[in-house]
Amino acid sequence: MIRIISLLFLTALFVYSEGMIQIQKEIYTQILSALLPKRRSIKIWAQNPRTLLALQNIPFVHIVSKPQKADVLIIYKDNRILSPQICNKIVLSESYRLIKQKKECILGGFFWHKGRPNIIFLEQNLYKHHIRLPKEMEQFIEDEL
Amino acid sequence: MKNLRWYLLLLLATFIGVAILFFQTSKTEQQLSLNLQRIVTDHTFFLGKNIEELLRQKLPSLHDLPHILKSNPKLRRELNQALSLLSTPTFPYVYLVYKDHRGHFRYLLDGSKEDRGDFNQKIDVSPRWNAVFQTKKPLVITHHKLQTLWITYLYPILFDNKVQGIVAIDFSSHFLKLLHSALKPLKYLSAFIFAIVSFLLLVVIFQILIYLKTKKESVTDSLTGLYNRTFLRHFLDDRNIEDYYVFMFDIDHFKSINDTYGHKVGDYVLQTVANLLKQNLRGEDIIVRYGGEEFLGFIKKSSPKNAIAIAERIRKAVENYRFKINDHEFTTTLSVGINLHPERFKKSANALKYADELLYMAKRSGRNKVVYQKESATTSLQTLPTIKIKELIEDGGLFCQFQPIFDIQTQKIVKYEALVRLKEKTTIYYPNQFVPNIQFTTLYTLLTQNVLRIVLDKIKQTNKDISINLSFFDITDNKIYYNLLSTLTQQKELASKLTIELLETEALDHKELIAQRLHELKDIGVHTAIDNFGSGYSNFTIFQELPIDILKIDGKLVKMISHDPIAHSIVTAITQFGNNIGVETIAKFVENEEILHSLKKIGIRYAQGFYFSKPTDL
Repeated sequence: MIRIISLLFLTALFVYSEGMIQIQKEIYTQILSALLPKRRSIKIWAQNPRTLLALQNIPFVHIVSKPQKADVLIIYKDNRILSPQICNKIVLSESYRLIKQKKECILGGFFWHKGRPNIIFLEQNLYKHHIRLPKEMEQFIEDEL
Repeated sequence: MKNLRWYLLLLLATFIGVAILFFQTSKTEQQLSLNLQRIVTDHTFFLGKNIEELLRQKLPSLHDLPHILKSNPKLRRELNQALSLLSTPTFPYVYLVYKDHRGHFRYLLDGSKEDRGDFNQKIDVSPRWNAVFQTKKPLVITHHKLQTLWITYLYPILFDNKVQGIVAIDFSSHFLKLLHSALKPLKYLSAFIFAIVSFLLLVVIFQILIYLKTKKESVTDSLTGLYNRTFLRHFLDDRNIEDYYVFMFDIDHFKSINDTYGHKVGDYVLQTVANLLKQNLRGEDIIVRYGGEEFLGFIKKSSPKNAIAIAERIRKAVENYRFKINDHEFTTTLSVGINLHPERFKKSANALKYADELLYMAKRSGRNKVVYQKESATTSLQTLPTIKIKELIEDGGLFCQFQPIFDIQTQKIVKYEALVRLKEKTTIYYPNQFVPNIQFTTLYTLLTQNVLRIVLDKIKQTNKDISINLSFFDITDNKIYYNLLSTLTQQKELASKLTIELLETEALDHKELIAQRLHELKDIGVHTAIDNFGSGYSNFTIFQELPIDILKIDGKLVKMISHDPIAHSIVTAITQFGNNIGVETIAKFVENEEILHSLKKIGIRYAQGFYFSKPTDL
């Protein structure tokens, strides 16, 4: 747990630098490994170009251009792609508002709040996707928003 | 080089000074930040207190804040509105949080104008926030890693001595950035100076390295790799030669090697001998190629015995070395002169000249030798080197002692004989220690002129009769003669008090000239004596050729008259001869009463010697 928190705070150090990409990459590595621990390869579609930059360096991640082909989707602001089919996939968001707004669809996410890195996982959606997070990630689980 | 060292030190000191200034500027920035943080947090405490006051006024109780605020959205809006009035660009986030049963911090109120948290929204914060629940005191957290935040001020809301919530006020890093940018010109200036001085230091170091390289080349003999004369000049200026023994080496018959085998082989011999010198001397010793085949060594002082052993070792090394040219082999030898006492010389150049003189003696006495003092090549043990004599004369070390000459019959002093001496501190040198070395040199002329001046001054002072020893060479020397004649012509009263004792140590050449000049002197009243008659070039015909008034019998004969019948007969005959031609006789070296008794019996009128008096000041 301390490792995760430390990682979150380390991220802040490189917010406006190239180093941020590296930290973002490491946080997503932790999140994706926790969500799909058995998968050797994860197909990801992401909305934010900066997030794509971070993700492309993760060895087990394959960036896909179409949301339908992805195992995991990371949306930033635009929720128009959240169709019922998409909602059956693991959807993460980089906006708290969006997570709250589409909580029946979005599993959780990683976002910046008051200059601090924050992570949220919605408990009901974890059940829906039969995901059991490792112990060090449990602190980020929220039963309701 | 000394100046260069000072410049380098000065530059280094400046560099250190600027470096301190540079780092101090950074420290000042940190200190200012800290002070500013202290001021800000002091004020923020009152802000937190005011918020607490506001909550007390607006809420029925501070107990169970989540429950109270959850059930009253209108109150939350009102309080959020109130908190937002406190929000400024300096502290953009003002909010109230509580800690739930899982240890998560969640919003109760948020007055932030942007990035506002919802009621009960989780906020991931540093674990350090938990400290407020333990200490129940305000806490300041400085953000070193968060780019947008500078500090967070945490103010606990207490009820029943329990922390019910925390008022959090985040300060923007913008304010700190302003401070940093205000200090930037100073930082840039000191960094610029630091860079310039560092650059200058590097340039100077580079220049020094080039200078040292060039200097080394300029003071090194390209053929042998030894120091050259340029180095020697600096060495003699900078170092104290007294700390060294001075060695002068010379390769024997080097010209023959050059003539026989050619210059290329000559160079090979020079290089080899130079290497042998280096191999047989210590690192602290200095070797200079002084001339063509001449080397100069400055060997750090240890003991004279050791110095001589070193010289012998080098001499043998050269002697035993087999020089090879193609299939042919040949050997050479080395002569060495050592000045073991350079401290006795006022000038370094003179100490070197003395070593050269000793080297010359080694050469004259057969070569392949080490000569370290003149007695090792000549019979005199106490002979002073020419350079030393010159120094002593120039430094006023020349003086005269006067030995009285007695009338044996009346037992009264009739005159004095001036005897020249050289003095160095407490040491007195006698004529046989310095005259032989300078005879026929200009230094000898200088010595004679000085002695004449001293004697004439003494006659003037005391009005006593004084005799002075001069050689035939002095009489023929125009400078000496005309100076004397001129002085005595102007002061005739001195002439009658002066007796010239002619030293019979050399053959009488230029008889006519000497006779003429002695007659001229006699005409103005000067008396003439022949000294040490009975030895040397003594010849009775001298009395026909020169105007002699006094005859001084050789002291060696006089000393023996009491026990040697032949000496007695010779002295008797000389006395008789003097009486017959009307010349006064003086016996020298009268050392005891027995001699005096014999002299009385022979009929000698005048005598001098230790029995009467040793030479003293007058």
